[in-house]
Amino acid sequence: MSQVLLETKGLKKYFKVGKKNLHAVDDVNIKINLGSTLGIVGESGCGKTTLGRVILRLHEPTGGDVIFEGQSVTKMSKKELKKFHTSAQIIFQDPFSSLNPRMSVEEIIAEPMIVNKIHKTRKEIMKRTAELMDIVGISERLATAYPHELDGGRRQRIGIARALSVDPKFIVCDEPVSALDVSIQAQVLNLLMDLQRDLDLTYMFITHDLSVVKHISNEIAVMYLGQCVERAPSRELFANPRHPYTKALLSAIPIPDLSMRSRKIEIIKGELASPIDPKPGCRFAARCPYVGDACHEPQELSELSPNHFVACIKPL
Amino acid sequence: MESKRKKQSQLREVWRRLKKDKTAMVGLFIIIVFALAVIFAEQISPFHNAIRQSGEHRLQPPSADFIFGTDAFGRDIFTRVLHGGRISLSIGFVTASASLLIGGLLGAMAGFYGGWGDEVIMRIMDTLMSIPSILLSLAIVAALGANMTNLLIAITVASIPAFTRLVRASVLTVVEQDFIEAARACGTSDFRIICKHILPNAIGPIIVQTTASVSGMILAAAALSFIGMGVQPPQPEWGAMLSEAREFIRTAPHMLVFPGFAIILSALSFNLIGDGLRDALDPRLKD
Amino acid sequence: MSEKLLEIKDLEVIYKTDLETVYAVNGINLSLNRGETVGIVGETGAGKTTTALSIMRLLPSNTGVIPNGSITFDGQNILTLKEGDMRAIRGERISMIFQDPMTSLNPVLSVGDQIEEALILHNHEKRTKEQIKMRVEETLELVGIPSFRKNEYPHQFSGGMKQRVVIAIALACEPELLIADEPTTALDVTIQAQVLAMMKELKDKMQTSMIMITHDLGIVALTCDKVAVMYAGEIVEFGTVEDIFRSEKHHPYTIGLFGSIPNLEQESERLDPIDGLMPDPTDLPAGCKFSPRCPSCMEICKTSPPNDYYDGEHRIKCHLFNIED
Repeated sequence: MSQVLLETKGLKKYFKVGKKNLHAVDDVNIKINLGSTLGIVGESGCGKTTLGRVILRLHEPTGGDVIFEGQSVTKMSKKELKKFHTSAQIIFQDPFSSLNPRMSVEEIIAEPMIVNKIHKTRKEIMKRTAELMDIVGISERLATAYPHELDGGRRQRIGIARALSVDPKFIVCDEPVSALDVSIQAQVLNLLMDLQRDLDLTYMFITHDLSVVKHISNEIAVMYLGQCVERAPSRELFANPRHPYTKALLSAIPIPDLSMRSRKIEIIKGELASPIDPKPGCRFAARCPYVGDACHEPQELSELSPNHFVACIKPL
Repeated sequence: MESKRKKQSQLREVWRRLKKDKTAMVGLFIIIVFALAVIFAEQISPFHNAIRQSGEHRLQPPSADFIFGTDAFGRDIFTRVLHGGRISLSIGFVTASASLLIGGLLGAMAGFYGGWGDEVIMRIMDTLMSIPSILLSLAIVAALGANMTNLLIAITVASIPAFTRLVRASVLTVVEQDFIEAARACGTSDFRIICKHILPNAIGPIIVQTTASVSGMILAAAALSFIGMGVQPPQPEWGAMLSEAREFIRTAPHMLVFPGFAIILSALSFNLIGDGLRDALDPRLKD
Repeated sequence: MSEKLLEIKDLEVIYKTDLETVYAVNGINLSLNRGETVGIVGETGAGKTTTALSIMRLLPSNTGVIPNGSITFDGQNILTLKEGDMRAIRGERISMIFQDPMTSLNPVLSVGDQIEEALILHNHEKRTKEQIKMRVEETLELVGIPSFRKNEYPHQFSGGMKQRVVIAIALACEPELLIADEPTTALDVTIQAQVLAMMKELKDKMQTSMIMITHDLGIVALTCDKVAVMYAGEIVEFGTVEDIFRSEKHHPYTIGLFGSIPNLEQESERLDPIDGLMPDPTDLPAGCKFSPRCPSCMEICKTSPPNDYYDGEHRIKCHLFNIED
């Protein structure tokens, strides 16, 4: 049985909007096993990015807890948190705003090692920096280049090297390939998978791109308006989606195959409701083709088949 | 050791790029000439020349004896411009650096931490800004007494709000970016985040504002001196000289021209250097 | 039966500044029949948007230069038209939808006014004010927005709804050709599906021809009749969707493009991306522009640019096929 590395328990993050609360993350329970990848899928505004930041406690959670290797992240002292951040790192979506434009490539990669005093001498740090650049596939001659001189793919590699510089076990990948062109996207995805294999990393992979998430994840959690509506092993989720939203999401992906041309696409009507002070009950109810009266009751994630959790009163 | 060498090479890099900027170099040249002139003012023409009155030499146009002419009391304008520059330029320097330091710190804190601290700092600044700055300086000098130190304090206080606002706004645009979040995620301390990640990225407009404000400060000091709340006669000062010259604008224009030119040239040069520095400090504009 | 609406011949576009010359489009040939949808696929910097802007004659006037080629629209070479004549075509017979719905609407005009403006500018049918108002409401309903929302402002609409408004403006004058530049890239998948379905329906209803610019092969498979794959300012492969998705013969770049997308149907351990990066458009490689990244590069590829290989309508710009013959 695989070991759980990270777990959230009823994790909540509300943002104040005037006097109201924006429920960005609302009672999310997920588990990530050591060495595996959990994909978090959802559309813009579903709270997936906030979830990633709250798990690393870059935002303070409003409620609930995050357990990392048996330790509560929310109760950590400043010192413990600093240590936690050498085990848990993050890679960002935007390769343009995630690197300090005033620092050179080697300075960016070396910075976390200097801050955390990981190596004793500057020589060791520079040696490790060169190694990291080699690992992520950036040629040595770019060490003194500045981020604006590089393309998106290379910048994203630098972001990865920076995250790796503290030797983490766990990395939150926040849409790391969404801003890249397809051929570069594939290069970076391969790199991430190689790194996971070689360094035994555990990923939480946040994305809106279902084909990417299926490719890289062992397990997938689907989010809608701050809540996790379905969680299952990837193959199971794609083969057998049980929540109406998951099904609609899967059916909406344009597939590069002509046989799909005649396929009837199930188009869900309407748009995301407001996440500000949402009504109790299923948040997808307003768009759901199978909506019934019982849907206005609060929904809980329940295990329908082994490891397949759905929050729906009458799953498909 | 190695890091020191690196820092030096970065400075050299900035200098190398600044050197390419012809207009900035012109500005720098003028400022250096001015600085040398006021530092060695005593050697060039002793101070007593600036205050010695002489009835027979009143309002003389420029000549071999008095290369800038004389004023209404027969004092040598050249010497007065030299010694006045001492006061004017140091007022500019001291007040600009003081308000940059205080305003910058307040603005950086307000922008970085936000919340109620931001609220308190910015409301105080709003209050200060709602009073015309010259009136504010005047009130401060009136309360503390008219002398050089109080003049400096008055001008500094009046210009702090502008710096606070500017630094806060620049910090806010940087704070939003992911690389700040990345620095936090590595356990970087707030102090290091501000110094290493935020300020270098917010520095451009701040440098321009600082250099541009030097000229504003010189003018503010001149205005206060004019109404007797600043530099006290017979001590020469550019602004004060300018206002003394008003009466004689038709009969003895040279009284106005030389201190006026001194102000314009120094203000212009500071602005040119500011623009040049902003470009030279930005690695995105590398060549 | 199928009548040629648009024909691009040997089109070259460069962006010239004091410092450098960017070779954005390098001799492309493309034709479009009435009622057809042609997809232009490629990555950032392939020259897709430049091609579209050339058809609209909207290249930045201080830098964009067309040294060579012609664009024939309904029998007229639009590159030689006077600006005034072009204005009569633009927005009325050829319309364009831009990628970002957030910035392509004017925030201080109501959406109804913005559609109305397009109609007033091209009012050849001498519609009365009443008729124009009617047409505005009709157009909104057409793109699935209830007509009572016409007095609302862009910020009151969501991203998907805004893109519908943009489409409504583009379609208000019933253009013969619609150029859609990544129309759904900024939208979420479920909203993208709604918008694509709507566009397809409208296109069929109005018999509009369309150029669909995208980087998403899934969207191409869903909407296009013919496909042009662009790389470094050239069309490296052109054919019907069947040619592109089913044929055995492909340009190595097309193969790389397909290898880069994770396949939802099959399980695969690794992706097969193309190595390397797009060439610098100010300094393109000699010979075949894809040769530095090509897995099947030969000696000849490095020196001489390949000609088109034809297999019916399917054409491939690659030495691999020319040598076999």
